[in-house]
Amino acid sequence: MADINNIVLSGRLTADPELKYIDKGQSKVAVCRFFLATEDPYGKTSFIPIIVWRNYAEAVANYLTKGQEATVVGKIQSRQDKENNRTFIEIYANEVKYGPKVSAEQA
Amino acid sequence: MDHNDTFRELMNKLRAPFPKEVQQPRSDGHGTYIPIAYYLERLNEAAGQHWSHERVGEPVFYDQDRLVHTVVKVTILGRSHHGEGFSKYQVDTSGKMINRHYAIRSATKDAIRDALTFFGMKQDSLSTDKRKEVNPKITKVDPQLNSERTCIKCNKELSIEEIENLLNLQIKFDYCTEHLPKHLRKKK
Ligand SMILES: [Zn+2]
Repeated sequence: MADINNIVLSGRLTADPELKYIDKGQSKVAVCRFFLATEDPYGKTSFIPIIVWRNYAEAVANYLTKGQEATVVGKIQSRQDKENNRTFIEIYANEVKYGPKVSAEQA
Repeated sequence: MDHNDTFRELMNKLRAPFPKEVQQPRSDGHGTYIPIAYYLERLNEAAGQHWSHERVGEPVFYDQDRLVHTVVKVTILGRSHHGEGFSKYQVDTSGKMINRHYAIRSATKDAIRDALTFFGMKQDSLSTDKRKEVNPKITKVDPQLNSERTCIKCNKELSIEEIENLLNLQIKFDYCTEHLPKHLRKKK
């Protein structure tokens, strides 16, 4: 049986999401990346990197903006950067619930 | 009519302000710009066969900023000005530029537009109130914000119709028609 790996996280976007297309064989796959600032009960803020893949990435990147609230459901994964041998911990989201949009002045 | 009169008349046509409708929103959301297609249309209407352009030197690629830079010489009735143009480009996973020729062509057109400003062609339209929305800090330091909008997947320059379509569909990333994701095509 597989281990448990479930994450539910809410917070605010620190910047507009980034959208990139990476080569997967012959086709290009969309990857959306953004950071959620999430505050604990003691007022300490963590900045958590979130990754969304494929069609959902395109939709999420198009809809979310800086300062907006979002709730993310997904799993936590580690990724090894081959170049400098560093390990990154990221949340792979399979569901993103959008909070209300913020106006340009508030962002 | 002598040569000078022809030149003067041509310049008057060229320098007339653009109508407000030709303004398009910039890809960064800060203010508006006039797509190069309108400059070329105006230039062809006013100058017809009396203008030409040639690229000066080779394009320069700034890998870190993913920008291509070209210099172009534009000649109208025997008088010339140089212009500099920039265009953003996308790279694939190996860091190689996608559709190099699109990026160069886009920068070349931007350089033509730049050269035209030295002939006195205006960068903006009649409306002055719109200009206040443009963040002066951004427009000064970042030449790429004036450049053409290109597809995020293939670097192809977007047509005016494509930009308007993105606006109608409220899509903030730049896609050509071919690469516009199907699931974003329906307006919410
Ligand atoms: Zn494209």
